[in-house]
Amino acid sequence: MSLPYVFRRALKGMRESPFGAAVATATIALALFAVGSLGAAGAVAARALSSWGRDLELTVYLDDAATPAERAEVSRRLAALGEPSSEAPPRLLDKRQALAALRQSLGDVGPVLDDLPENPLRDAVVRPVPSLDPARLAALAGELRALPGVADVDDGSQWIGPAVRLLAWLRRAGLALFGVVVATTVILVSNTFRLAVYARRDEIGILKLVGATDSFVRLPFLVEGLIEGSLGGSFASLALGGAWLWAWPRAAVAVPLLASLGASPLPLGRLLAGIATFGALLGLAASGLSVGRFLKV
Amino acid sequence: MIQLFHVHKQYRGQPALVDVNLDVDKGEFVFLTGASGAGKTTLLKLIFCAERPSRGQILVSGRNIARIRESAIPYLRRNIGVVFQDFKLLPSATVFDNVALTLHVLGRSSSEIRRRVMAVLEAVGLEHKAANPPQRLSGGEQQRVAIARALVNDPAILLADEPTGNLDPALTLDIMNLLADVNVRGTTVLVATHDHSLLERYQKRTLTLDRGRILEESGSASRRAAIPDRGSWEERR
Repeated sequence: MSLPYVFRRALKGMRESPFGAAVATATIALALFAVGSLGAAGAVAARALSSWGRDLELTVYLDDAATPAERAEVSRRLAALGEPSSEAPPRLLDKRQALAALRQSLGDVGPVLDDLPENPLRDAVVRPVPSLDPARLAALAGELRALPGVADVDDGSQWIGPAVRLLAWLRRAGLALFGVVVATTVILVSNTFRLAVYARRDEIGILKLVGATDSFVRLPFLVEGLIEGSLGGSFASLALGGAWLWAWPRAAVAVPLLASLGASPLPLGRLLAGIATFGALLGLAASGLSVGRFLKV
Repeated sequence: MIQLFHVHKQYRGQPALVDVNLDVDKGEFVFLTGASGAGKTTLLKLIFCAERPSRGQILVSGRNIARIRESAIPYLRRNIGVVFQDFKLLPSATVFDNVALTLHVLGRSSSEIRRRVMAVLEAVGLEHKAANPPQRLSGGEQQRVAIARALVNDPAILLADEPTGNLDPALTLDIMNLLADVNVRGTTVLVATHDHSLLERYQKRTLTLDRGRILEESGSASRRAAIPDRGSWEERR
């Protein structure tokens, strides 16, 4: 079977049924734009949360009566967490330094702290905990609380926990939505192709009559699906790329947390190429599903 | 060339063919006749594997097609040309492209396709209308295109199901003469028709079907004794 002939027949099919080709292409483009937007939003949310998690610190507040040995033990336990301790070793935060930092952070009202009869803060040992696993953080905090000389532990899990759970829920919802959108698109595009194939059932019958194999009949339809899918995917990529370039700088200004992700937090090129490729595969799958039933002649 | 042994065909329990036995030699011209619903079309469909027999054996060129695999059917059909009453031409394609379809299926080169299509169009007298769409042709001309498409790859067998059913008497004779000419050149031809004037005029072997059975056979003496070597349409020009 000659490939140029297959392509000629595929293009001829598109020319003879331009409305069907346009509907299939537009359906794929819209669906992939929706899926791509969803994916990009999910990826940005995950990165933002991950970035927030990297800034999180585990703070162990020490009793004023804690002995040097107890303080050393707390530092040793924190250093032995197994996270990249070489990059972020535990550091002792003296309560006088803490009060001074607090005074400075309060700005104009800071001097009010000077009237305190004594420093209400405690010495603390602080260590960054880049892990986002709230269950692990909570368990660790429990262990540290049980150590002698420890007054309290702030593991930040009361903040990060709900955010991680929200992200996990959003991820599941996103995957479900992704599945629904893809399935709906395959059904819609497959039905559009089915109409196009139905309109050409006489041609299929004649081809089978003169000895065409199923693959000979099927291939131009698959190529047509591939072309329309590629076009739909490319349109979706272009639209998504444009929307991203317009929206991201504005979002980064509006939400300070996003600004920390930098000017280009997503592998945009790969994402857009993936959407275009996915569009081609979607068109291929949808056209493949629709031709089979007309091959029995 | 074509042999049927005790062939039965039923559609939802209703018999369409009953215990049909048939032997068509290479190079024969055979009419199948009978009233509508007698089983003529079913018999032709069984020969080009559009239907499977409910029972019995069918040999085409020595091959039992009653048990042929689905994937082998296209290759069988490449040796059988089929012509229908309603022509079955692609309205969106030119005469040339309609005829070329068969050769595209066979994966022939563009130059060979051009050569063979023009040769067969010349044989049916339509080489000057190669670029026309079929709708611009008369019924007789459209049937000639269908015959050209069926013959372009030089099949051993040509099946024609009521090929003149939509044509006026003058065009009918035109098409029948073409089919007779094809047969003279060595192709085995089976024509289903209920037009008795054709049977009388051409005096070929005739099988009369009635409610799925072969009622009578006439004109057997006209079986060909010597079969000419079949050359391609280019060689016959």
